[in-house]
Amino acid sequence: MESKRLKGYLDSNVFIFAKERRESNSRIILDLIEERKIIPVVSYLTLQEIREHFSIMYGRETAIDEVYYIVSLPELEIVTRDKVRHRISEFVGVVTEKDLPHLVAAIIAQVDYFVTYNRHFTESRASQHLKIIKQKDLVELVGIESAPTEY
Amino acid sequence: METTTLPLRLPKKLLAEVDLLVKAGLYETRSEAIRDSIRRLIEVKKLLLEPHRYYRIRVEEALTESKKKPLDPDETIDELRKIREELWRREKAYFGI
Repeated sequence: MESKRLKGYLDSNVFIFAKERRESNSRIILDLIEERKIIPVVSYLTLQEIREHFSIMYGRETAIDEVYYIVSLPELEIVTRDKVRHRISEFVGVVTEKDLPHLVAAIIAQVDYFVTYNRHFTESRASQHLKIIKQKDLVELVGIESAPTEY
Repeated sequence: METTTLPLRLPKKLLAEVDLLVKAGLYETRSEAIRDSIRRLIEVKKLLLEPHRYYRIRVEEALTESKKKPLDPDETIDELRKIREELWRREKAYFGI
């Protein structure tokens, strides 16, 4: 019998480390998504953050390619701004304001895990609402040998 | 670049179309026109079949060619926090909080 696939909200840093760090668990996670072993969830904001980062670092064309890469991932779920707006007021004070849309997007999508290397998130009260783990933890939960980095 | 010669059967009408492109100056030779058409075919089909793989390769190649060295992981997180802060500053009013 096929085991249940994990559904993970992937913070922006997962996509960035996956491309910038070849020996990273983030890269393994993206491989697993491409093999349909993990169901990925992002928010509209994740795409904006990634576009900004890649534009600053590598130029606009590469930033657009990266966004196209993400939106064409198999089974990707994107939580829209509108959906976040409807629920955001319920969670004010749980995390810093700028992290709120991500927290709410993950809750709306009913993910199994929120995956991030951002310690501001891992050390926040968000863990009362979601299971927050680092990239390495997710790889190990899938039963794959992890890379030596946390991210 | 190393090349391989392939025996190729083409309908005369299609070859005449290729020759027109050469005569018009778009390509130096028939071979160049056919190579370009194969490259374009591959790009289109890759996009249709597995777009994420196609874009992944494009981004990875761009990063390999980039002269910019990635930030270290903690710097990346700090930089992302700044981006998030700026996006939130622009968006906060929309959420009404």
